[in-house]
Amino acid sequence: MVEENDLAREPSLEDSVVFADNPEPRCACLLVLDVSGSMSGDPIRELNEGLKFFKTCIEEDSLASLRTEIGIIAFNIEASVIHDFSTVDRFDPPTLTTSGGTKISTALDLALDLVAQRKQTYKDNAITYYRPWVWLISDGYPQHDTQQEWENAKARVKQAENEREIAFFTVGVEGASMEDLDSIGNRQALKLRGLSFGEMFQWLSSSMSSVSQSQPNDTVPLSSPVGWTEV
Amino acid sequence: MVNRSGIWAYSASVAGARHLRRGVERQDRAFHRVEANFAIAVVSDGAGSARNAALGATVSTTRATSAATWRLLDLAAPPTAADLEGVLRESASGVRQSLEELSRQTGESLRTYANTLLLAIQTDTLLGAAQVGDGGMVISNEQGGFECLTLPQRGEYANQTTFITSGEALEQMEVKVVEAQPRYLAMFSDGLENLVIEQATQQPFHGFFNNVFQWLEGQSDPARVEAELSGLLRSSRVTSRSDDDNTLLLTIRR
Repeated sequence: MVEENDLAREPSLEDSVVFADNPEPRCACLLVLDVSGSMSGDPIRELNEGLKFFKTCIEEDSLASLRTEIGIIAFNIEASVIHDFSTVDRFDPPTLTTSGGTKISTALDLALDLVAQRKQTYKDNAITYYRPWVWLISDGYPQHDTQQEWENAKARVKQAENEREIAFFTVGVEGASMEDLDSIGNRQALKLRGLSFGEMFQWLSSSMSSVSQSQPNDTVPLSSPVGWTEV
Repeated sequence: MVNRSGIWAYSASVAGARHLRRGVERQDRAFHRVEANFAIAVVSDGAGSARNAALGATVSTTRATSAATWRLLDLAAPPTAADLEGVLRESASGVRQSLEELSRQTGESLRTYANTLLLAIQTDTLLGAAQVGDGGMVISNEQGGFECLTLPQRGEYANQTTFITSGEALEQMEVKVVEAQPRYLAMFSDGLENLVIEQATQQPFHGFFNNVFQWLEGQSDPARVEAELSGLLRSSRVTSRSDDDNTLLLTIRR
């Protein structure tokens, strides 16, 4: 019996170890949302619902919840940070309201600045991170951008993409100039089917799960954006 | 069992939750060989994105071990630091050649076999290490602390690293030979990095390595050691924080 007691007291390896308490690696996802007057009514209502749903979707994946950071820029003629980057537990989906015209270049500049700042914060705090995602969602065209501003902003996005600083995506809502949106970044702009923001955010959430848990040099297997885009 | 080198090696390698969910096999490998006058330990992490990464990692660990073994057995005298550096470089280049040969035979591109390489060789007087890619190696020092022998090679992003199949892998490989006979050596794949290295300082997390090796000091049965290592890597304490494949290889001088 004594021997049995001795055996029982022998500590297992699992009981013996303690682990480093490092921050989780982060994956920033910046939403750049058009809140110009033309988005009023159903579009903005559906978009606001979509943001709440986005939070719910990400919360369903425990590791993605720890790693995804959501930030929001809203823009019309001006652009402002409505929600600074935060993990999903501290993400408070805003209720966006609409007014004014559309100026896209200011929003793109602010987006690139905000992502660069966030990366610096990660570096300063020794937090590892994944390539940030930037999503521009608009129903408009560069209405109040001068030609020069528009070209400069597009060139900046293209350079950031080519240097792999960000992954940039564009979604056009009904009424958008797809030709203009298409000319930003390297990927083809996606046309939202109706107002299916819910499906879009569900897809975005599962994509963030894949990215935030990808391993070295994974080409992240994103599912094709079926169900919420028009072909 | 006779073990004239006095070095004992143990390892465990388990599939990550994400691999299990996707139905992908484990792509980490660990291998070791203890001879009378030296011990070789290798860990390789197959790239998640590469189709033949598991085979690539198997080739890396076995080829590195056999190449280093034959070169060391061939030496007329105990290796000098320069000899050992040569052995490390030739072993890594042997791995690369084997993967290139495999790629030629199968018609599959070299990068489909992508994997990282951690190679450590201990002799009676020297410790040599070579690293391509992420993961890491930690040794004990004479002050009772632990230090990183090598650090992960990483790009800007958490999911970027170099592989033995990359263009400049052999040129960029980190190679180190020191006059040391550390009591403890630990090698681990990148899945464990965030649990065992303090990111802010890039130093080994003392609590982990100290407790693991204190525990190992009290063990005598190799099968039990490896079973407990596997158990640890499969435990929720690890899997709640890492869904990657996880590999841990330990050596101790007794």
